[in-house]
Amino acid sequence: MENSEFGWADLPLPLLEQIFEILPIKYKGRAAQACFSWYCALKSDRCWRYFQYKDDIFVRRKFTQHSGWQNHIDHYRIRFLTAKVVTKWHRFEVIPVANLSNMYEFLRTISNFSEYYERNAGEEPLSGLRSFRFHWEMLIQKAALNQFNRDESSRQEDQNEKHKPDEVRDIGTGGTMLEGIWFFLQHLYGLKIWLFFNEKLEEFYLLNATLYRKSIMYLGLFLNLRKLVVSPQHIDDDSLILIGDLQYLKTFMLVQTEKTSEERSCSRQAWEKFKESNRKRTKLYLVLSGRCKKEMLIQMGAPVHSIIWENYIGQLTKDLAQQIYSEYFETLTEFIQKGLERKKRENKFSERADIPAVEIMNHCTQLQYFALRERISTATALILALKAKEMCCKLCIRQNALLKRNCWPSTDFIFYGIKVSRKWILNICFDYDLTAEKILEITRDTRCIMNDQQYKSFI
Amino acid sequence: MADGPSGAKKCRDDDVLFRVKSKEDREYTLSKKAAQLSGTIHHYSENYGLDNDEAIMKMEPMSLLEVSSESLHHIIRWCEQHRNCPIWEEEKWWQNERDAELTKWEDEFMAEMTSETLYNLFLAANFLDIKCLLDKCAQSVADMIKGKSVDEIREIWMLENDFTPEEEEKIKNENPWEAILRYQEQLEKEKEEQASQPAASS
Repeated sequence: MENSEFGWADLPLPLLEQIFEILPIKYKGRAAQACFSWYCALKSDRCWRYFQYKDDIFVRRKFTQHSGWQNHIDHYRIRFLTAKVVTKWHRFEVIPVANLSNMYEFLRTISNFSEYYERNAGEEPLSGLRSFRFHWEMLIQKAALNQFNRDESSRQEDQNEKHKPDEVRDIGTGGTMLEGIWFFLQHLYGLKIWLFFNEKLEEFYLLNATLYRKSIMYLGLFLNLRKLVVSPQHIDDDSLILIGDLQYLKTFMLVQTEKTSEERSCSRQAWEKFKESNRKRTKLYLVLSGRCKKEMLIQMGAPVHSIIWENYIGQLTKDLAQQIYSEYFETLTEFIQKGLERKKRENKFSERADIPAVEIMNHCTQLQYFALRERISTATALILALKAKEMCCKLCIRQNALLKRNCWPSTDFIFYGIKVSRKWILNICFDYDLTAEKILEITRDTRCIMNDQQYKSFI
Repeated sequence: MADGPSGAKKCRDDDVLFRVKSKEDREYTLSKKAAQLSGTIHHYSENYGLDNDEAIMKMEPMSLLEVSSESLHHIIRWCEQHRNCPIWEEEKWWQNERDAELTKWEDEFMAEMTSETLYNLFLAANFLDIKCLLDKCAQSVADMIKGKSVDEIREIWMLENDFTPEEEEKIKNENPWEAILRYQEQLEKEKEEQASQPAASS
């Protein structure tokens, strides 16, 4: 090869610029010092088109009393950056960082700079920006985190957990980061399409983001979602149909807590559309959690897979049961009441949960797991056990919630399709031990009747 | 001459072959789809009415006077490998995902290059206007620059220091980044020292 034809110094300027564009800022300056033609590339606008923010960039060490040596953002150097090159940016990328406060500071400084120019000079220094990519990683490896808090306590933790290197920790910023980004985005006049989603997000929890009813359409844009947990006030008909189209969604939970207010059920038509596009790939859970004083919200016509009472709150009433079995008799497979019953209710047969429980058992043919914490009579327990056997359903009831009696009128038995005589039940139900024995015989499950300790831990 | 991995070769057989000629007058063929990756060839075929298979079969070899045989060989390998992948657009990054296998192949492809072949490939890619190859070349050059000092950069890329001493001093001072760099280096050094100290004491 002839030497005259080969020389990196003679590389055409556009190609050099292309190299310089993707070079990290640290090495731009260094490469520019190598020779004159490379130095020219640094002077071009294109060289500064791309900027990537990462950890330990524009920082300086600072000593603080409470946390020792720390890397803080260096405003003096950012001033050089903003004055010289920020106006040339086309693409700006923030890759996942461990030091969130520095990133926040950085974004704030740049937006303040832009705001200053907009107000005083009428210019829009960030309007050239065409692409802003923000990578956000909520789970940060512990090793990365420990760089920033090297105090004694975390070091001790370290030693204990050395054999678990994949340990991760959740980090939240309480909305401050969102506010910072929002502020920054206001100065980007060049952006045309705004997309606030990441294709990789697999789990999303959005509980009580607003007090009043506010539907959030973006939920349907997280295309890779596997699990979605959301308060019912954030879902309306339109967003529901979008969620139904999510290809990979396996778990969809509607969670009510004490802070949930103004919730309303989605319309039956919307749920029909949801079912149509979803094709049973998603399991829908209705969950009552926290210290919610209200009753479980029944979604009309929804393909509910499970109903779960998380704590001691909530009660199975006649009306609720009727709604449950008339709406969900086709799909309900799990009915779970966790914890113990707290709320007092009448001991009368008509007020107790006997009839609702048996009715649910009777109507929901797909039921596979039935855990009831409410007070029922021994006779009802026998009926439930017989039904459970017939349907191959797992039954859990509390020993302490059993009342030694039979309140069923004789005609109801025929109605529920149970093939035992009233006499048989009457013979058994006035003896706790005998009842337990018979139920064990029917279900062949030692975990069917549990004491409170077992019930709390097992369910 | 071998033409890349067997998979690429196999699928090019069922496509019409495009004929090109290198600087040294050696003839090469590449499939129509692969040829479309190059902006220059695309324009050429539009101008000369090579839009149907018959015309391409009958064509005279297109002579590429700027491209040496060696670079052309590499470029054809690259194009055949990428013939089926969608055009990557930075502006639409969320629409297509990068293929992990292809990325691996690209890395291996780049690892084979020496400084000289990379230089020629870069120029050839520029002449033929192949965007994905240009990006990859720039990326690998940038990766090689990372972590090097000024003298090392000069050595690797065979650059001559054509600044006068005064100029050099001026550039260093004018360039605020340089001061930053020095600071950052010092910072890193301190960090390393800090990391090594507790280990030594314990």
